[in-house]
Amino acid sequence: EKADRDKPMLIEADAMRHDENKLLTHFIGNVVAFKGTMVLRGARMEVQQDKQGQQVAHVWAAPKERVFFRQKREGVDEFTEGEGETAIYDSQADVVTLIQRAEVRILRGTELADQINGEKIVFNNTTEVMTVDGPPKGAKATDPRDQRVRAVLTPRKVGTPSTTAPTTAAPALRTSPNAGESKKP
Amino acid sequence: QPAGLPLRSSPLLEEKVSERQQSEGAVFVKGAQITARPDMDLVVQGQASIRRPGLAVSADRVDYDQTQDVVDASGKVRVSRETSVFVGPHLNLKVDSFQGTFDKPDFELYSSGGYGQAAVVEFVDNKRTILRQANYTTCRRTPGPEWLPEWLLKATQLTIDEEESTIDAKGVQFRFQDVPIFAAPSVSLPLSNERKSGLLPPLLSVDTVNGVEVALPYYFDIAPNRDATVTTHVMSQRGIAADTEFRYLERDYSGQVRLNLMPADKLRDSNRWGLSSQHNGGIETGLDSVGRIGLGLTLNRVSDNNYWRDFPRSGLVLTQRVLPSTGVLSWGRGDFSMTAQVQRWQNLQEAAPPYDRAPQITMRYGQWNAEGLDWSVVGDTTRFEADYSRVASLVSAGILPRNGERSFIQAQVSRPWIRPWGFVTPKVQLHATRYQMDRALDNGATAVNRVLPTFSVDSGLVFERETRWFGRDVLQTLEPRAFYARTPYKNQDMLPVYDSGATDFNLSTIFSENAYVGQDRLVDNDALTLGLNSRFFDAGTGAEMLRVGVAQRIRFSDQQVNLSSNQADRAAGLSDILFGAGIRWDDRWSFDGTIQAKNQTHEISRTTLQGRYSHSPYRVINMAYRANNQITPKTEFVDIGWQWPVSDLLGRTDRQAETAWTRTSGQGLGPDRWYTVGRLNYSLKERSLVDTLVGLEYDAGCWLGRVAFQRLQTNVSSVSASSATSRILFQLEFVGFARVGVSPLKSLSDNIPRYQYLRDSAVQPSRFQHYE
Amino acid sequence: CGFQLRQTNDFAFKTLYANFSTTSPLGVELRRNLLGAGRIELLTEPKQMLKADAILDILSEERRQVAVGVNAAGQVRELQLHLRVQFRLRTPQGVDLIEPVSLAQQRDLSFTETAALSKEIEMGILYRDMQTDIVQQIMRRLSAVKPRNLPAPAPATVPEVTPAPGSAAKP
Repeated sequence: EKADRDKPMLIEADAMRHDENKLLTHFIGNVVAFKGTMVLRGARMEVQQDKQGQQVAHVWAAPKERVFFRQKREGVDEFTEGEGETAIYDSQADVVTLIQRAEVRILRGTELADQINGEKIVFNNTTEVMTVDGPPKGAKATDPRDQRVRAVLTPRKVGTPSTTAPTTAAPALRTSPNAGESKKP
Repeated sequence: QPAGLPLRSSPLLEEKVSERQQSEGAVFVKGAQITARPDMDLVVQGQASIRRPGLAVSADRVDYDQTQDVVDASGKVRVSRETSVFVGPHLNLKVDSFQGTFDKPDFELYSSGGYGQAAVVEFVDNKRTILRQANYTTCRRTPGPEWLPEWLLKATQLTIDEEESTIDAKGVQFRFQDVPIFAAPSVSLPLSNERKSGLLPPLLSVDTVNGVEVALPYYFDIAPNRDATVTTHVMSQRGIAADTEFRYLERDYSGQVRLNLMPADKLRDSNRWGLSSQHNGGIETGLDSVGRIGLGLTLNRVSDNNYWRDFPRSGLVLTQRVLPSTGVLSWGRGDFSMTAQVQRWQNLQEAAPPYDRAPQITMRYGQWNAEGLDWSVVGDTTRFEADYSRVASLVSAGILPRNGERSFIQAQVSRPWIRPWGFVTPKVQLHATRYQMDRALDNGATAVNRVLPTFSVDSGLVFERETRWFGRDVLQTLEPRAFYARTPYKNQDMLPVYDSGATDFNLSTIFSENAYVGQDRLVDNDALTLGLNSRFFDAGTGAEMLRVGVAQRIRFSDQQVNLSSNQADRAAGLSDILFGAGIRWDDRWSFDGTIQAKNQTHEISRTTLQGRYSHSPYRVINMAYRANNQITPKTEFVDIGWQWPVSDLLGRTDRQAETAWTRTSGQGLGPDRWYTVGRLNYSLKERSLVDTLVGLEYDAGCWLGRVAFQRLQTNVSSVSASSATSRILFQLEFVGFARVGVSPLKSLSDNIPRYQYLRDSAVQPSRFQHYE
Repeated sequence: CGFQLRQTNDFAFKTLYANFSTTSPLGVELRRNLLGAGRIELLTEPKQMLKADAILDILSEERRQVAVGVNAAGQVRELQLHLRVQFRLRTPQGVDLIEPVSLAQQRDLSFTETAALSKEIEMGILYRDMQTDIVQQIMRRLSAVKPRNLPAPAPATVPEVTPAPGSAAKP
């Protein structure tokens, strides 16, 4: 949500190297970054700071893995999750860019509402605008089946609250986000 | 707490998209580039496509506002749904309620196979669509720049209603081969093959009697179980006639009424009408002791004696020269049954009419296999009346009808021994009859009684063997049969003849106790009838392929009882020999024949031979020869009926195209084909073609053309020696314009057995045929 | 020449459910022949339908008359009578033992309008004769059903996974 902008960013990693005069910090080994409700996880991260203290973080995932991004949405009990082979987070513009095999999921409570796949997804948190691009013309796409961007949107259930009604308290199929987390690097 | 999601495998694809699926189904979006604000709006550029269960929109650019659920698409927009597809430059559509507009679309409706263009389309909801300045056709586009649809319907407004499955066109102009032939303020076209009120293909004919005649049938779909067809005939030389046929099918009764009305017919300068109706059903009396009484009503009445000549073959009844009107009440309980009936005839012929039966009450009580015995008692009392006053020949000859009452009781008992290899059935009958005449009979009596017993024994054996014929395993049976009947002689020459008559001498009627049917003549019999029947059955399925039979009757004493006193007695000795055969080798060939030869003079007294060859749909030839020398004047008919594609005759049959096309039945053999159809009925004795109908049918794919020449030999009329009405019929039937499945040329389907309409039924396409 | 008396035609089924009206003329004659064979038990109660070995459906019975010979004076001289009966034999589980097949018979009849009453009685005789012919053909086709394509009535609950145990009722 918007409040994350001025929250401090905490980063945990196996090892860290900081270069003061270039204001460049390297983190290597299951890096996890928290900034308010936003979480970023990857295998390697570089944070470049500028004079005013705004940071731009580049995150790379381990081979055949993907960087994981998650943030609560503004004013709604919903979460946005994203994955991509590399991710760039610009805290000043509050924009997250996921590149190669990028995927963004919007979860209403525990239910998956929308899912968008593409080659490059730019998610601007302030305007909540997300632009999804396919592979640039002529480039070999990782997904041979279809070059185009795909999105699945489920219409909001009118009237019934999105939280499941009490009668089906324990729905048989339940995808809980945190269960998946432990598997991620 | 539900145990979990009960899943059930289904071998079929789901043809109907459910309401729930449509409203709650997920929206799939694809495109080269998507800019989205979740739950707000979505802009998709580059080969954009949005899909929901039952709807697929694709375009160059799509703006989808999720809050208002409005899609605005532009650039080669294609809206594809289960029943139709619209393609055009720009669309604005509210997806849920499916309201919106579409500019200059091309459209195609799958259920009617029609397509066209329109200036603008307004989607009212997912069942109704309005197209403005639209043109519509079902003719398939063939390559080539100068292609034009053979027929085209231009309308200022086309309203497609999938609820009612109709297309209502306003301000209609109809062009055939680019010539405007028809214009109307509003026309309704069928969208699918459901029964819908609407125009049926009109029939144009040029006739020696009626002049130029146009028949415009209109079909009213009143209710699922009631419908009516009103055909207005406009005849240049006679006037206007309205022929109405109303059909109804209720829970407890059903029927059909046909009324033909022609005020001021110039041909006879009088009002003409013809009623022909059938009704049968039941009356629930509510009393459990009585229960349900069956009711049968047929009414056939016409306005004058020339009606049959001026309106040939228009009624429901078989015989046009004598019209029966019957009312029957029937009731039964267990082994007892009873019927009460009144029957009156309207006589249109110069010969004597049949007797009216007003009333006839029949009661029957009988049981079978009661301790091995089959017995029954039949009681009947009938009042016979006839009116010969209007038949000139009879009045001049001074012949008066013998009106009177006749009641009889017939009791019979038989003891059948039935085994699989044979049977023996001795039977004893007793006839007691009483006549009460209005006018004294020849011997002066007005009341006569007659009591006659009859004894008969019917016996037969069944032999079987397995053989092979022409490479097929065949089970052949040999069934000898012997039937002896003995009835004493009693003079019955003075009795009236009401319902007695000589039967055709064939394999069914030869094994009976009485040479005449009916109750007025009980033949004095001392005769043994021997017969030999052989049948060939397919060993696998048991289907009867061939039946051959021969029979002859040996009389031990002269038969003195005849229908009319001046008839010569039947001499003792051998009677006529009878041969009968029926072959149904496979479903392509079938042949039936019976021949009856006179024993002494060896000339043939009755022959019926008929054959049919039909090896695929739309190809059939029937030939029949029927001769009857037993009645005066003798009759001899040759009858040929056929339907055959002309391409076969010219040797240009394209087998693959046909098999591909005939995969859906009832759609002809493919576009651009000519068929020759016809029926000739030649009476050899009268040396004239009594009934001629020769025609050509052209199937152009989206329209059918018919031209036929018909010549009906109506009568040896008082004016000219023999008068015949001949006419030429034209017909254009536009596929998709009028409801299919109704035969435009009724006489074709009536007279040519196995004739098939070229558009029997429109096939409802499955939504997966056009799945995108 | 190989002919011998026809033996009792045994049937591949013991009980048969009569899914046709046994009061119509065709129904009475069919019932009479089925019981006459003495080797079949005929069930007519709807609730016994599932217990029967086979079900005989008379799908349709159509009688039609066509005037095939009309003389110059419009008088009918030749009539053709048609009787078409469609029937099917299936097991309660819905397996078709005899595919729906239609048996057609036709008879020719000379006709004169004046003798309409006697011709009406003759039509009745011809229809009864056609009906007897068709019933004989149905009986023959019923006896032509081979026992092996009649599945043993599998016990309702136990799915037939292992080959049917010896105890299953083999006709």
